[in-house]
Amino acid sequence: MDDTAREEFRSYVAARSPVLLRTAYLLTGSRADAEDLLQTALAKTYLSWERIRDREAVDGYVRRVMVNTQTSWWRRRKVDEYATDQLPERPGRDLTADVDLHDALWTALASLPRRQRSMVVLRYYEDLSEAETASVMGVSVGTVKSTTSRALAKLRESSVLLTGRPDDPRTALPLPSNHRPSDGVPA
Amino acid sequence: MSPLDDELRTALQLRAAVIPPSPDPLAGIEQRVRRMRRNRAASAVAASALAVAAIALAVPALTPSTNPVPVGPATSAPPSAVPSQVPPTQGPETLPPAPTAPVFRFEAPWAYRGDRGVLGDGFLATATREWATSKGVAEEQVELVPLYGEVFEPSGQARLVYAARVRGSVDAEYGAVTTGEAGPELVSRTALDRSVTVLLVPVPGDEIPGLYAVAAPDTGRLEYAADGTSYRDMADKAPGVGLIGLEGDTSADQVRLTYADGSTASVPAPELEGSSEPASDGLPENLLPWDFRGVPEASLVERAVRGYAEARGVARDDVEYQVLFNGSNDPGQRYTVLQAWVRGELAQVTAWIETPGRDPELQLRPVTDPGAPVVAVLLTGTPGRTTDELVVIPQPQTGQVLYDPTGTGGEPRPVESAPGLDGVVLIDRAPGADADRLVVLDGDGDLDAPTFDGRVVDLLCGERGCD
Repeated sequence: MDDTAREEFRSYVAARSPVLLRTAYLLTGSRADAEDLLQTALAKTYLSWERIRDREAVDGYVRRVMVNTQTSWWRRRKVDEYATDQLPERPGRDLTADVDLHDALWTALASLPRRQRSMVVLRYYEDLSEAETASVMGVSVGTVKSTTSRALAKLRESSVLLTGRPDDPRTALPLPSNHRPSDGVPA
Repeated sequence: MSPLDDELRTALQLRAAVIPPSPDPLAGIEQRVRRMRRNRAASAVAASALAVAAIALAVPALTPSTNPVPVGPATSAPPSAVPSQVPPTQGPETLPPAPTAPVFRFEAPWAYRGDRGVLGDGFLATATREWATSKGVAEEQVELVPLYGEVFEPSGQARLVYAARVRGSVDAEYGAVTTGEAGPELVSRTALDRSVTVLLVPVPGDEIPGLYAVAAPDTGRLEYAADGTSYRDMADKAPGVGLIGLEGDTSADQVRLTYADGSTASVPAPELEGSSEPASDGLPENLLPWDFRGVPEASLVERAVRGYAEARGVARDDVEYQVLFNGSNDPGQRYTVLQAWVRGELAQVTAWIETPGRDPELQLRPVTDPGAPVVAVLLTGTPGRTTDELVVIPQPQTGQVLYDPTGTGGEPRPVESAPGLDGVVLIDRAPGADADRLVVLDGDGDLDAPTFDGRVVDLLCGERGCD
């Protein structure tokens, strides 16, 4: 990479990494993993910098690498993850109903499958259009619509939301009936 | 726009807003780039070793190797395996230290639990033979560790949860084997990770499928959360063994283990086939579930989809697609390789190639084989080049690609994936070549079990067959 391209890359990182770090955080749910994910994505971008002819497409490239890398990591370390019974601390927590709802949404978002979560983040945080999301994810607009729709349905059905504020019309939604474990299994 | 849309948007904005920028992102990126380059150099050395090994293996009267050359998968390692270069930061959450969970190891396997009758009547030997046969190795090369078994009455049908490996190899799995009318049947085979602390084995049931969780015998408690948060005890089958019936979408489900020291660990339940992508999605059943690689090129993809619709004689809106790879080269060729399908029909791999000064070219492949290990596209007539360019798109996370331009059984040479191509390989190919051969190794680099070993022309067959 020549000096000009290297300087371009440095400028890009300086300008965009704070924003992209937030997206990485929403994709991973963890600050440490977000830093790792973004660093990996930007390192891959650095190695591909001269192949990305359209500089306006760089954000899309980085987002795509983040989504793919996150999926790849998740597949490979499924059994390494440890969870805790205790909810994480939330700085600046405000005990109002809206904050409770937002916390509940965040918790429910963490339970979505990776692909659904990625699409929700791209659509509702990055504010990408369905077509832009389709381009980043490499799928059709129809798939974005159906996947996002299923993700929102899952969020609505989330027990966290349902048990949060039953009197709130935003969350008082019917409980789904198709997802219950039973006790034993016949041979 | 619904209230939930607004609340979701606000929740995400508020959550993200508390994340401060990294102090010096460039330093960490540069270190990681150096490490990636070092890894690539090491990979190239390993690839050379592979080529030498491949020559040895090409000798007639091959004997199965018990010590295949291990090569890491093409993808980057997960963060748990690659220490971050980022200094520790205080985020909005603090995770507890990982408990010292007992990991399954063949060198010191967990004790067998359950009905000891399962181990008699030659069932264990039969199961071992079946597993060895499935791997294409001799029974003597296999180490199969029985972990839990039970016999169901009145049928007398037996079921055994096991872990098995080929001795001297990284090839290891766990799963269940049951007695069937046609002999033992291996179900739910899963690659055995070195750090696995609980073996999660889905099994078919008369009414609903079930899930065995087999952990170390001193594991105190096994619980299951169908929504990922509300845990309930699994049926206690034996110390460290639980069972639960599964219904619906399991993609968010979790299994939680409580150890003797009181620490807990949660792992995602395995997704039942099709549970996270119900048929109502309308996705074709033969769709390759591969991630999109390359640079997003929305307008190029759209032109490709329109070209596909025109070729199939349907309206653009009736066509769905998933992109496999977008690429371009210095002479200005731009191309996209995607899986396209008319709604309600099966998918087929399709390539759309735009070359300066020429009409766009649409390449249609036959209906996709859902088990296809590799997809290839040939770029011809590239301005300023005397060779064609073969674009090889292996299944993600497979290993080294080797190419033999002569197809005479000689030395296939390893081909490196260029930076940023995520395992996609570009090969200069002689125009009109018809005997050249491609080999794609699995993620472990096992030369005895390539995911593909065959003629390139077979990968380039058109919708109406091979020329």
